[in-house]
Amino acid sequence: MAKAITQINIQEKTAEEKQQQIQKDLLKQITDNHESIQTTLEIVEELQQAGMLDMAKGLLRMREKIGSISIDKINQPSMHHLIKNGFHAIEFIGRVEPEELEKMMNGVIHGMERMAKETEKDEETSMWKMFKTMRDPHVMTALSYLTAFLNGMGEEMGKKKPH
Amino acid sequence: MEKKKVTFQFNNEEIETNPGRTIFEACRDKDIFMPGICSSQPDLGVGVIKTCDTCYVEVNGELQRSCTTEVKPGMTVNSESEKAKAAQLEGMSQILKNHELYCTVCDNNNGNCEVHNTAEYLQVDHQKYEFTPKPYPPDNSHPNYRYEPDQCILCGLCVEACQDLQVSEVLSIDWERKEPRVIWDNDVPIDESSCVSCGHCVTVCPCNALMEKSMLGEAGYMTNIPKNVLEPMIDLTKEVEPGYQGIFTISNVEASMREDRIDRTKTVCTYCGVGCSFEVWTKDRDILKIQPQPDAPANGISTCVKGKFGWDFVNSDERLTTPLIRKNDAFVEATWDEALSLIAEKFQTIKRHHGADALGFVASSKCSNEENYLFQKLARSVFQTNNVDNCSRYCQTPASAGLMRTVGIGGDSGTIKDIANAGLVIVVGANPSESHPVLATRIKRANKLHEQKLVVADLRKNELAERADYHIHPKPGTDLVWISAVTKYIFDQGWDDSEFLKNRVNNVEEYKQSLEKYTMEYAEEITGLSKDNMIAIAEMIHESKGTCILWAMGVTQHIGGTDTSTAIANLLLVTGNFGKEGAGAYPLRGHNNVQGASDFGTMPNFFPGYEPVEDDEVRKRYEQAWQTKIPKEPGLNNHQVVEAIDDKKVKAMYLFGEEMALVDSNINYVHGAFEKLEFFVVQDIFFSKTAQFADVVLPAAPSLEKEGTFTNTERRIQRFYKVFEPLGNSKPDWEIFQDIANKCGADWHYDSPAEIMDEAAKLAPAFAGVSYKRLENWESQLWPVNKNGEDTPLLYKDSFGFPDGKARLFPVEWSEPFEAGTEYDLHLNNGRLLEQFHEGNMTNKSEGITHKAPNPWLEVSHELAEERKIKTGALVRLTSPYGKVKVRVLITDRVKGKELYLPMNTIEEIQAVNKLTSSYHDKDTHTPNYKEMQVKMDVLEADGQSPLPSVNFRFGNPQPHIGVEVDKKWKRDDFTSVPEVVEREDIIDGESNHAN
Repeated sequence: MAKAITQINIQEKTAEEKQQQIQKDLLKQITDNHESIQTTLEIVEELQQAGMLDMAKGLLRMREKIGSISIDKINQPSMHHLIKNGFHAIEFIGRVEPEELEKMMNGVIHGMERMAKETEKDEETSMWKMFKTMRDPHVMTALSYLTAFLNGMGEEMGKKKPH
Repeated sequence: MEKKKVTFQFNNEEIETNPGRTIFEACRDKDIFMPGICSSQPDLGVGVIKTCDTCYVEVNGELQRSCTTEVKPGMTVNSESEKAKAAQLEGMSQILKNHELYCTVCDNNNGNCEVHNTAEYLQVDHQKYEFTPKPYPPDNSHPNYRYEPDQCILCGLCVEACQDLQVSEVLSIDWERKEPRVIWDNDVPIDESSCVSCGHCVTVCPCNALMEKSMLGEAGYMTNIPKNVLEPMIDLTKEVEPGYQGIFTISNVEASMREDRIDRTKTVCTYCGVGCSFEVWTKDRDILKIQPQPDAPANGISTCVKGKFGWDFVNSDERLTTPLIRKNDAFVEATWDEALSLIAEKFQTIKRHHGADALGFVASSKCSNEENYLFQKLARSVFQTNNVDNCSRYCQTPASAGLMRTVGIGGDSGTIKDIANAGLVIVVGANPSESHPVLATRIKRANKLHEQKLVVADLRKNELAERADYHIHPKPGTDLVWISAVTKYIFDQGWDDSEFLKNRVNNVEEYKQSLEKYTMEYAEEITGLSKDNMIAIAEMIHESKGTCILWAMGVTQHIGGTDTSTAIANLLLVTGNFGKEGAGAYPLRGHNNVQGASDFGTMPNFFPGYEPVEDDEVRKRYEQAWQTKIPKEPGLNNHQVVEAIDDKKVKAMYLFGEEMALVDSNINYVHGAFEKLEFFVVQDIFFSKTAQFADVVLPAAPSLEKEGTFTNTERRIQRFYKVFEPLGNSKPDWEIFQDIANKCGADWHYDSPAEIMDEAAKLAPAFAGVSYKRLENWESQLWPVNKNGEDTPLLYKDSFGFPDGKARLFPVEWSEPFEAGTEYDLHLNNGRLLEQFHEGNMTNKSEGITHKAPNPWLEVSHELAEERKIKTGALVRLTSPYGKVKVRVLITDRVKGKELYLPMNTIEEIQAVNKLTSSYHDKDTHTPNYKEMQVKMDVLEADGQSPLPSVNFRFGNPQPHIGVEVDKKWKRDDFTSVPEVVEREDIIDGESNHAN
């Protein structure tokens, strides 16, 4: 003889019981992972001493405002150029044959070393000496590379822009 | 007959295809990727939309759309020539004029974004045409989805889906305005339109223009960035972009990262019997969205509002999460062990003292096949009773019984494809648009686009009736008469399929004679239909290449429910409409697993696979397998169990997943019986009205929290996978049954539902070849399934379900419907509605759905409203001989004269239609005669607030047309076709027309 009833007595856990349960779970997790937690704590201590945590706190708490300020700053023509040029530079490097680049870079470095030696000398360079140097086969090679380079660059720059 | 294949040259290879295929289709068949955003939805068809212009190829030197160009023998097609590529790229560039690519911060960047993937494939590097925002704000008015015009590429997939697949005809693209956009109805906010919230448009959108609100800010790692940061970020990206290819790399990485936190799990819908399957996308316990897939066998990409947006109940605070035991007029929480021990002790004691048949078992058509199998096993093998039944007793048992009498198998003759392909569909006493929405879309589409004829016999002018070639309105409960009269007329005209009858049907002459009384004159008198109407229907059947008859509760829930179902099968037999494609009998099953519950044996007279318990051989098979004794006598059905409780013969009952206290008829009587039970166990996901009568309430897990299979109305068995862990201490039903059995000393060790299915497959010949392995992912099987896994999409091709393989014509007599008496002057019709499922205890947890349809309402005709001087919003009391309800009125032309309609979507007793219904029932199956009741109406308030809010789709203003109307786009002054652009701009490198 059971009438319809709607009363449900829910044994709600008290706030204290819930907290106790959480503490128990946490403690277990800590003991299970004590080594990594100790290391983490040491890192945190160093960060605290270095003032990094304070900085991070400030950044995080103000993230929306800062996010909006910094994106506005970044979203400026000079930054656009910087980023675009960055992309172009990366693209440029990507297109150069590694062997050629290596050869050229070696040449540049060697040349720079020679240049450094040259600057150490305290004598003036006469025109005669300059011409004499140009007859040096090494210099001739470098100059002919350079003129070939100028040729190619001029050819590319002289092309009309595509539609 | 196989037609000859066609071969053509595609790039560097020869491709063979069927005649009539387009280049796009031929490539797709061979798994060759062809860009084509607007052909990305196979359910909509390839080449019907023609808006994206990304699929251009060179055909014999000319640029053509591959989606519309039919393959011709010897044709040379190039998709990789400079010209073809330039055209594809131009098409994409025109799209990107309308769409900003900020993929990494877009919630649609999940690897399946068509716009992203096509742009990447075509190696789009820069925005050729500048993107300019459209002058329209996003439309966020609908509770479940949004439209962002600025991201809309105007491909029109959404329009096509709404106009020609769902056929709600709400969406259009307004090509005439300066900045075209998608509009709802005649350009109203989405929420105020005739949108039925089915989600088709959102599902097919190839980008993020239409999105589920539950995805926004949730799917991506960076999509929840506040607007004041996000917009400059997008600007910045656009400003510095080194070409889109770099951006695609980053977005692809981000999309892959999302796979780590978004799970995509296949499930089968838990609402109606259509059996839609789809993916559920989840992040932890949050449901991000329902994502249908073209591979889903019953529904493809289709869903209705409930399947798409009705899943909030799973995480509802109201879920039962711990067992409850009644103590001194209150329920107290208990451990599983306490609850199960109490159940085992009580059931065993009652069985000892009063016999096994003092126990009753009511199963659930919401639960899985495996759970139903295990539940009947529990009743039969642990407690030795056949007193087990399921809710098909309230709806579809008469249909099954009518079919078993005539064609031998109680299920749909074929599949939804057969319904879609039929020449003529006749719907009797059913409202598929609301009760089986996705199935209805196939009828609406065939009727709109493919010249399928549609006849609807219903008291109400429901949506299909509105669209039908013929809507007939017979007097309530007289369908048997007009159907038999049509059958007689067909015989009289010599239109019967005499060859079919001669070879495949028994009892023809006797049946023919039984039709003598069903003359047109007699039918006119009884049904109120005109002779012309009935003759027209007979002619349509005669002229059609194949007829499908669909029916539901308007037929079955009558005193003569089984007989009317039989009359339908008779008509189909006489006209040879069985055993061939595009024809047959289709009782539309109401719940997700109402077919499967009966299939797997929760019936008092049948073991799984409809083998009679009285059959000694069959029983022996089960007794041996289960090592137990099973009673020979069939048990009590649901209706008889309630009577037996009332008579104090049944003393304890175990019910799961069934809201019997609201959905059984004459619930005052049912409640009285429940009060008499000595011990009552109710297992549910919510604290239902039925649970209020229980002694023990057990918390169950819904489909998303377990594995299993459901069988839809087509007899199609489909697997669903576990999405979440059960909430709290709730458990899957099958685990609970196993625990109870083991408490009672059984020794069951099922580790998973797969093992339960294996056992059922071994024992029931109809499921011999059913296995989880064969049902993986989108695979499905339609029973009967042979041991080798071969299934049966179409029944009766070679033989009917009788020993001699022949069907039987079965004479039937009309039973006069129940009359409550002259003082009850209004006819009460009742049933479901689109938005809320059944009484609504699952769907009403979804805010979006409740926003659209918060209450039940009483549909009253204009004539009656005028007579009673009431307006929409009036409060009335309805009284029948069995009880009273109080509801608010909606005046509508869906009902006529003195006929009322009260949907069943309430959990409040005072509005529950079954306060009014009686305990009379179908004389053959005991299904209650819900549809035979008259009431009187008292007006309590003549006016008031409408029970249906103005944002309900029923108040909308649909704008029917065919598809997206791309011609209007092409007629615009600012439109230049892709080939023209390619020609004019001479943009093909190396092929420009120079003299040297």
